[in-house]
Amino acid sequence: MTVTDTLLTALATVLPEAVPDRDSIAGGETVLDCPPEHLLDAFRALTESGSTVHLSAITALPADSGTLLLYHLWIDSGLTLCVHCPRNEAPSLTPLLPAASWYEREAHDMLGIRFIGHPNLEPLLLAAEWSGPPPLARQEKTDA
Amino acid sequence: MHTLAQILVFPGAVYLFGLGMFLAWVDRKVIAVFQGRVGPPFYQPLADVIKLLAKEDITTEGADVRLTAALPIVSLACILTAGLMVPVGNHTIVSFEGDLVVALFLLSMPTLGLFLAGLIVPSVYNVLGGSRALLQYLNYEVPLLLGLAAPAAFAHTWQMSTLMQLQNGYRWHVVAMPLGFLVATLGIIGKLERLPLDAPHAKAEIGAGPLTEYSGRKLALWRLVTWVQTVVCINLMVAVYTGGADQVWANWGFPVYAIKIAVYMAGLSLVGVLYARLRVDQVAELSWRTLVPLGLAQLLVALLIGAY
Amino acid sequence: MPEITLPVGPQHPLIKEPISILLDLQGEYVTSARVEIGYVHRGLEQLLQRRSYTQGVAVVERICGICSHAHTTAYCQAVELLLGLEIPDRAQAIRALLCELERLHSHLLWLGVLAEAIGFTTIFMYAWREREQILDVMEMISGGRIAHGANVIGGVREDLSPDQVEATEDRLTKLQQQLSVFTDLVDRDKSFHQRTHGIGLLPLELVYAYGVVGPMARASGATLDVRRAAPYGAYRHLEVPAAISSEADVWARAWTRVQEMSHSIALCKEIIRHLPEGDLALRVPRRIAPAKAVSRVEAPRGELLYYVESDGGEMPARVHVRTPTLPTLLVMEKMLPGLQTGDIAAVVAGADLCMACADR
Repeated sequence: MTVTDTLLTALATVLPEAVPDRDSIAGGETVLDCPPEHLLDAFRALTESGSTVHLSAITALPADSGTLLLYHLWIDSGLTLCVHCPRNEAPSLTPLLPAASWYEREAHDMLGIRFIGHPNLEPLLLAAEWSGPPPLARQEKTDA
Repeated sequence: MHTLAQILVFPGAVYLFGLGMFLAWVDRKVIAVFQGRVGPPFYQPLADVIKLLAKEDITTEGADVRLTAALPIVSLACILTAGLMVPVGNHTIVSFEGDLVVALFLLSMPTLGLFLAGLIVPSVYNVLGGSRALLQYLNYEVPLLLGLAAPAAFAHTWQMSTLMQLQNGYRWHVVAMPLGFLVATLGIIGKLERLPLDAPHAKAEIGAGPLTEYSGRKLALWRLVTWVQTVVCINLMVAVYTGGADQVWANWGFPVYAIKIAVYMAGLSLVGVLYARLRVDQVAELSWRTLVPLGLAQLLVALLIGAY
Repeated sequence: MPEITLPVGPQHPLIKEPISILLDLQGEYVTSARVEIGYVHRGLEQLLQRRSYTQGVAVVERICGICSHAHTTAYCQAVELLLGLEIPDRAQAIRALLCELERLHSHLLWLGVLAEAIGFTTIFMYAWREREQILDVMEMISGGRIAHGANVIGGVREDLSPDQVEATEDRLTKLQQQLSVFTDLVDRDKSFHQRTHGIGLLPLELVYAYGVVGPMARASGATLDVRRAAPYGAYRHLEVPAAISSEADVWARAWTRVQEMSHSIALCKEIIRHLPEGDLALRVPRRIAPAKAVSRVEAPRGELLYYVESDGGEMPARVHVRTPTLPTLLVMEKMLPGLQTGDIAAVVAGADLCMACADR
């Protein structure tokens, strides 16, 4: 099952350079690269196309510079938006789609990425007293 | 001297405590059997009291120590006094015209005690539980009174031992006034805060209700208050509605009376098993929309039949 | 009217796992709710980066006690996708069988917890008694009641003997008969209706906006069920019936889950009647070449998503778990205001929360 052409066409207007790729993530996902500044527009294009957009998860990965965010969506089949955030910050999806609220808080907890526009970016899983670095951020290799 | 023995032992304090624990066990055993379980051994309620007496008695900061200690004792005293008037078998320690009203008045003291016990402890669960206890009391006294007023009107007397003797084996009030029996029984369930009317101490909602922060000796006393209250209420219902220990059975009077008590207790347990808990407003709805009109109707019928 | 804050949790007789739900009450009505989680956060995603893929299966199994098999299935599936493997049919069937048995025992557990929350202890006792039947079956099949250890990367660990198949079928038939108690409860019991009908409404728009999944969403009219939308493993050959309600209240959630129980029994029977022959597992290498995979599985509570990335070493570079309870917890803050205190228990217990899953 693949993402319908209508959706891809809708996205093509917002993300003209993105080439849909079905191989980089196994499991039937269609992957599209999306710069952080176009993220909200891409979502609006998807929701305006008429389908129900289900946000399954937001995976945050440390990248060589900044963070890589994967937005795993389900719109009759799997669609992943790959957002590379070189400055470790991204626009918050929460005002458009409240489902993103806790996923963004968790990414902030675990990797320290800042979501601009998030109504309440408090720690979700980490204790309030946690003063160490974000647990999943790339750390200096120690002998541990 | 004889009276003192009666007050302290039978049918007084020792008997009421003992029967209270026994009926508490019957309750748990019957519920267990209906739920497909085994249930506790017969000495469980006694073991619970002994265990609680051995536990640390903590008074929450901000709660008056003397008042929290006094409330269960005063409640217990009121119930035991009511117990003096309720016919046990053929014996009544104290009996006079109007003792039904006095007994009911005394029996309402523990509910007020529970409400106060909840309010004086500065914890959310206690306060919520206490206010629910008071709400339930306001809802359930009226059906209970109406249910008990019907046989009194029918028999032209407010004396419990007379009510009992007038039934004389074959003219049980429950046969003549089944609605009144039903209304009064539901009133008793509400008064004793048993399922399905146990909203004041709904475990899933407000911890243990008014008794949430209580432990040790005080909690043990409140347990005894509940059990003895159950005994006295059941005794009252059995005497007023089903003839207690009828004269007609002669020497078998007492065992028959014991069977009636056990059957009534099992009936209360069965009702507890069959339904989900009612919410506080549903309890009020049941009381004022169903029980009170039925109780009034029954009272009217009883007055009419009694007149003839 | 006095305004008080009722703390439901982190310790409370209603909730079985630590969570903090702070409710502002005005008299008997809830005016606002605030949900805080993280009390059992164990840093398992980080731990998985420091354990081999095989060790990871054991870690993942312990994310949650009730849906442990769903977690291992999703994880093993993701790693198998990384390797580009298609596991043998018999292994797929055994995996699916345990998935459905787990759904059964989870729903029975949930039903008991809901009944206890509304004061219906009898149903709690009955539901958990039936649950024992399922746990016994799972112990017979895999050796464990809760943590089965049945999945390995590449397939399953143990086989089903013909005796076990027959015993399972017998127990399932008996359970199907006992299920009538619960269908009667949901269809006809008046006191159950009084405590669950029209309570805790979750409109479909909120389901979509908050990304709610599983029976919670299907009770409000959503249709997403991973077993039907993106079939995996043996589900590609099975027809999974839909249990969708539009009532959107606690009663609908009960109805949906009781229907799903019935469907699960039928699916289990179909799986064991057509158990394919074959191997149990494929050999897998210890090092996995760089790749990424997303695996979705329908856990008892809804869509469970695993993202696994390998970097050529023996340990994964990243494992991300999105459990189905997370969006339900998020939408709680919208569902609780407006309720009476007496209904909080029904709504919270009816939401089938699993904090161990949510916190990881």
